[in-house]
Amino acid sequence: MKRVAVMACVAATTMAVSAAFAHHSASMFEPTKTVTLMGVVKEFQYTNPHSWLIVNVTGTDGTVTAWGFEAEGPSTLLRAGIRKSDLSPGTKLTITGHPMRDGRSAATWIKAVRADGKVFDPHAPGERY
Amino acid sequence: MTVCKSTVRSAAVLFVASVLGSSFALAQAIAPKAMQKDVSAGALAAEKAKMEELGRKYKSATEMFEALKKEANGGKPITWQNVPDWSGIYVRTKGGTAFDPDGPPQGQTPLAKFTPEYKAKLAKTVLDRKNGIEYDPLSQCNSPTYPRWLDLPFMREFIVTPNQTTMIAEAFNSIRRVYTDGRGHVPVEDQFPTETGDSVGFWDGNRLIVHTNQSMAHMYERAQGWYSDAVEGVEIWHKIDAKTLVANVWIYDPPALIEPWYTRQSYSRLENPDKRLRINNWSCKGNPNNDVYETKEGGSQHGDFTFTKKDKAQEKSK
Repeated sequence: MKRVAVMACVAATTMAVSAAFAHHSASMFEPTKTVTLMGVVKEFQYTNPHSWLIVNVTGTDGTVTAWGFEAEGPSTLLRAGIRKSDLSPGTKLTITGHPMRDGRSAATWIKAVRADGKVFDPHAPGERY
Repeated sequence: MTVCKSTVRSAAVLFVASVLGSSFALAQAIAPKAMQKDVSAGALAAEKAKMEELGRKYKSATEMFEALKKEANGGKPITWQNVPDWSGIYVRTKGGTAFDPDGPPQGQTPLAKFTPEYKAKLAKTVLDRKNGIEYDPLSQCNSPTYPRWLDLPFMREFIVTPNQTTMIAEAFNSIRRVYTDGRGHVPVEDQFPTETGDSVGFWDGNRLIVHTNQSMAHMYERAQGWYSDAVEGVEIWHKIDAKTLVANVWIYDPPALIEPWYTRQSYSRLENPDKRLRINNWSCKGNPNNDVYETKEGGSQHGDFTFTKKDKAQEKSK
């Protein structure tokens, strides 16, 4: 696998960014912090009730960590203009999310930017729960 | 845009007039200037107050439903020749997942008048939510039950036939069947609670009037209050324009509500030019990364992830 430099940036923010889901509470995520990572898509689990974008992130020491970014299900992603094929395995991107409070490598998906510059906001127009 | 809003507004006013028989509302409906004033906050509040007043006129949902049926002379069944076109895929127009789309947003205390017991329960969940402690039984893909069905997010379909209207929510594969063939509810001695309740209705022109009972206790939404298994509702559904279905809803629940909770729910038809949007099955078992459990503190937590487990297994094999 091609090695990709990691840009791990954890920031505290006071932005009123939604960190909620319709199917379960988002209280396991930290709504006032964001994490931004560069990586390569390992798998796009395009599933109900939630989809998960699994991204391999390579650290400065060469260690690869799989991060999971949670979003709503396929119908919401489609309405947001995100098809499964848009983020196929091997796709390079930079992704931002609210990290889990317990420190595990997972986050809510706020925004992803593919290497070609295309932005993927997983929220359907006008919908943030 | 102004024309569109005016149309919506005038349709709403006409509806108020037809339901209330109010000369004031009727006067508004026929006055072009009043229509052009559009949906000001004051007008919406006044309209809502009238609907709330209508709900308070009746002691129960059954009483209200029977009164509406009597006013409509029993209603007039629709036929295959005049089945209204409610086809397409819809999503809730506004409100996020707050039960009252015109009330405070989720996270703030809703304006419904709860009994002291349910008010205290609500206050705790609102406070807990602010402190990051929150759990939703839906996390296990339990049915949302009625009336929470009304505020579910995601897509919906409405299948209208002369004898039955079927309302399908993508979320939780939740289906309501509204019988319009003249049948009543199951006799009281044989009733039992079901997840979406038992719904019967009748048609009055292009309006579908529904009475639902026999549901199960649940929450309206997270930090939005709870209802008991005595909950019942009256809904008046109508399509106000080519893309918008509206349901005026009165919820009666004596153990939990001091007076009926009136809300105006609306659903917008989605554009689907490439036919890619379709309602798929929901299953919490389809992806183990979606496992969520309740913590000892009453919060929510994800179970083990497959992607972190796999990494651990890979590390061990090295």
